[in-house]
Amino acid sequence: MTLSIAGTVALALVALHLAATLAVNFGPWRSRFSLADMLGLLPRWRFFTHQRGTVDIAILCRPDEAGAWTPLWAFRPRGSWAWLWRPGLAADGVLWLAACTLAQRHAAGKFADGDCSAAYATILGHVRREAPFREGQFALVESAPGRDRDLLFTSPIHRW
Amino acid sequence: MTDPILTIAAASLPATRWLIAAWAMLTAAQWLASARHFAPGGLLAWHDLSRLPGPRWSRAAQRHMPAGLARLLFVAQALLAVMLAVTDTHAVMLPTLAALISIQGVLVILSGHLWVDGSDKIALIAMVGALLAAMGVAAEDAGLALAGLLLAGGQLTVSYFVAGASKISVPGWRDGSWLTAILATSTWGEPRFPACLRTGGFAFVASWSVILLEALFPLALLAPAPILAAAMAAMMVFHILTAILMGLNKFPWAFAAAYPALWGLGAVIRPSLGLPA
Repeated sequence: MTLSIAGTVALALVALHLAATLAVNFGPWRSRFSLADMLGLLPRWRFFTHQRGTVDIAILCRPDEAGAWTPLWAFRPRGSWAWLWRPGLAADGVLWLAACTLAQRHAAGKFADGDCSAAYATILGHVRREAPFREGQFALVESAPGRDRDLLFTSPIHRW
Repeated sequence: MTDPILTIAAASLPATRWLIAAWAMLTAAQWLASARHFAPGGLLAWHDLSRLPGPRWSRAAQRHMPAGLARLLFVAQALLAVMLAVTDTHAVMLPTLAALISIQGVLVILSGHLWVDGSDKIALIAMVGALLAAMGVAAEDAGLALAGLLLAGGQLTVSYFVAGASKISVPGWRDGSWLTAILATSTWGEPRFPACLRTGGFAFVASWSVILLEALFPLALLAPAPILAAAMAAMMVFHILTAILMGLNKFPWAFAAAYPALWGLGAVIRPSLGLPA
């Protein structure tokens, strides 16, 4: 096989891409490549190696710090044809990932009042649209069969 | 076409086209069915996303793009998928693949990373790989065609290896308890899954089957073709099971789209290393 310049460059780039993908999946510098991961340039393939896959996560809200929590969102039950056709997965997947990311940020001590991460804003936007009151706070809880519900995160009071 | 790599790449393209088309059609249809989330005030309203931190150029794009563009892009993706499925001429296939890649890129930039899952990532890689392979075949450039096979087939192999190897370091995967826990959730589990299959013994065996199948998958690339075929079939059964049990319905199509490139990559690697066919 005689390699052209275009072929040589393409092969070199692909080899580099494969090596970089392995490095970001196993290396200690994973968080530095979040933009590349976002664009799918350096994908992460560590499926279900975080504990968030082993519990159910839900969003609750309440009008003030003394009020009762109202369930606002949880993954919708799947229909019989979900293995083939599942349009609901799109929105539920976005909220699930946002909730998991926010809970992870909070657990790692990265959350501060006035958090403007995509995860926080996505959940806050959803709460604004769906909550039955004009101001309040939201919470993330996790649950699993045979286990009490655990509170993962509580937001400050917001006016929306 | 005398170079065997060009012959192998050309042989991989028809199946790749069909599988990418199936994924693109399914994805576009599912998003069209929930396109309200892109409307102003919706879950993925671009204008709202533009207020979040991020590169200035992507925020400017989010601010100025009309919300109706999302629906238009999904319709375009569905039409391009049909074109890709029915055509086998390079004059149509190359711009169609390039357009599908562009649409996916625009949607990722405008909608943010929460919008993308693993199936979208491998599908994008399969599309770029197919584009490179098709360009190589059209230009009779074996290096370019091999780069396409290596990108799609190589990333597929890396994805399985990473998925398996990273599970080994998790105690819950090693003892099977995480598989049991995942299948018991209402998010990723299946209530109709018989309770007896959630017992410790089954979970342990199933857990290690997944770990070993994924982590050892790269060895199949070096094995004779029937073993590679068996490994690919086993992984496809795994994807179909995750679609049925966990509702991950885009994954079988997206991962399968990289299978023809993987098959081609095996056919290139074995003779070049002097391994049995």
